[in-house]
Amino acid sequence: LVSLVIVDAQTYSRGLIEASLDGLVVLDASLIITDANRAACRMVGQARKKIIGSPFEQYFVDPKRAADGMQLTLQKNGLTNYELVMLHKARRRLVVSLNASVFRSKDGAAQGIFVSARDVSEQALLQQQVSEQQAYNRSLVEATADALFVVQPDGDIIDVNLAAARLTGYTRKQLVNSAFAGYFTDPASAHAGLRQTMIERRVLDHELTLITRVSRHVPVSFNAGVFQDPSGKARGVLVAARDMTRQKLLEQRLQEKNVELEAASRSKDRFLAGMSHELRTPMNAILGFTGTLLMKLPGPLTRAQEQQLKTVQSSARHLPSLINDLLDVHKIESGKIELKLEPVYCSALLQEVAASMRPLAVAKNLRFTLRMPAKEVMIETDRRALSQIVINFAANAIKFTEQGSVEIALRQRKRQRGSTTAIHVTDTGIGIEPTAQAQLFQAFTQLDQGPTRRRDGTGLGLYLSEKLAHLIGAKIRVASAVGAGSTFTLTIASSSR
Amino acid sequence: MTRVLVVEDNPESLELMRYLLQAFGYQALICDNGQDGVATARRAQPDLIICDINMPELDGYGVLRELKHDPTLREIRLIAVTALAMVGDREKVLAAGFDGYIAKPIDPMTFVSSVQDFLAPLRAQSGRDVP
Repeated sequence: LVSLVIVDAQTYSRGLIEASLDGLVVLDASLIITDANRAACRMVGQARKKIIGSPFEQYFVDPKRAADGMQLTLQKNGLTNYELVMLHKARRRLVVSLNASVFRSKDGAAQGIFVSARDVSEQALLQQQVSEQQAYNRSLVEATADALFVVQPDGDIIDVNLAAARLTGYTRKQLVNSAFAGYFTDPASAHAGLRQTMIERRVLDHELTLITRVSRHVPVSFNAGVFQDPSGKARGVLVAARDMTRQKLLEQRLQEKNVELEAASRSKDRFLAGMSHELRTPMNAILGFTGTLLMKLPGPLTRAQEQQLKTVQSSARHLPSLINDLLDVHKIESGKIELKLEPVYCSALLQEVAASMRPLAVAKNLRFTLRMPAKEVMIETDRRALSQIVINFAANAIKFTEQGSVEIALRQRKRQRGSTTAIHVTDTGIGIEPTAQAQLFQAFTQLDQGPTRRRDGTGLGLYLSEKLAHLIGAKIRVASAVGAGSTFTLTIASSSR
Repeated sequence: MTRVLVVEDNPESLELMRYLLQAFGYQALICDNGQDGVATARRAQPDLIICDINMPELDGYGVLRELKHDPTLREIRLIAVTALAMVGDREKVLAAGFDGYIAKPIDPMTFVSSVQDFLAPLRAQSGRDVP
């Protein structure tokens, strides 16, 4: 029975040994393996039979360190967490952590060592990854151009990067464990920024002024976010402060430049208004007294005197309209013209234009006609611009026609989407050379008409018309034949609603 | 004789208006600045005042304010004379309280008839003769 109990106990112990996930080996005093469990066999990748009787150190990359470990065990009667790299038969390496104890005979002599080897490869790998990650994070932190501060909820700095040290002028050592808010002209605002970050988890573009070690004030803008422990609890604030000195300077310069430009634009406007006033003032006297002379208020005139005074008058009359046109050009080119889009009844507008132009045509014995469709044509546009363009067309038509007629015609065409409104101004005048048609819309190009005399007008009419047409989204076309007359057409497309 | 006060800082324009008014039989009173204009109006009580807008120191609007605040002058018709330089100038002038508007440059052919038009309602009221 006793032997049976012993056998049972042995079976039981063996079961325990084999159930262990750690490799278990028994060495004799000369460090030869006398027993090994299955886990140990798996670790080295060899059969138990081969292992038993082999020297222990041969299973390690550094056999000497393995042997030293065992000697240490014998001396100290035990060994804990002794790390070694184990050689697997298939060249796979395992990092193992050894624990060992000595078993002795009754007289105290060491009989052998009991070694357990735990595979910590994964743990070691993890640790390596962690330290690599830390190095990576640190280099990220240092590579950032922004000054980074890690701040505890109580407001003390835990960590900074080099940029933070550079920006503040303090060393990392001086910064760590000091109060973050103390580095700003407005500590309350700095503190408020931290508190807000703790509450909202994130704060963007909080503007502060930092005081450096040499008392220089640096405008900074900080972005901050909380960092959390694995449970999601906020542990502190990560602050990235950006030096805004350059940007502030640029902003300021830009603002100054803007003020300067506005002032320049205002002074140009004032100059133009002043100039137009100064030009008009003498015109008042020239036109006025030429007029009184022509009215023969001071006394009778000879025919030659009257003729010459009329020339003075017509030349002088030209100037105010030139000034007006120049002011209009300035307004359009500087974007100061204000368009008022409103529903405009074309027939009413053309009737007004015709009423003002007809006397000029009649004075030259020209037929003047206005053709309009029976149906009312309404378009959304700027009344003044539209009327100005048609007046310019009609004035030109009358100016360059010696006999025949001038006609204004309105036509509307339905398109797939919306409609097109066209206003044609047709004359039977001198016409325009094809090569000259291209220059028509440039400023001050009244075309040289050869033997015919230069017509009055500012030379800005078509130039202005083109600009106005562009503003109201309309197009101007010209069709002309020398000697047969010209047709100027303004086309306005309107979308249907 | 109907008396017209002209207030205008530009001597040539002033002379032109004076000449035209006198040529058509009005009595023309002239002032080359706003302050004198108001003082002369107070002293002479003219039938009509023609006033330039653009004048140094007291401008046309200033003259308007002074005249319309004085009960003895409030009833005298006040006509602005200035260039229609900007769109909306006419509206601005009339909105300010001027009774009428003559555009510069002054057209001598129509100047006096405009003056007559401004005087007409007055004449209908008082039954005074054409000058």
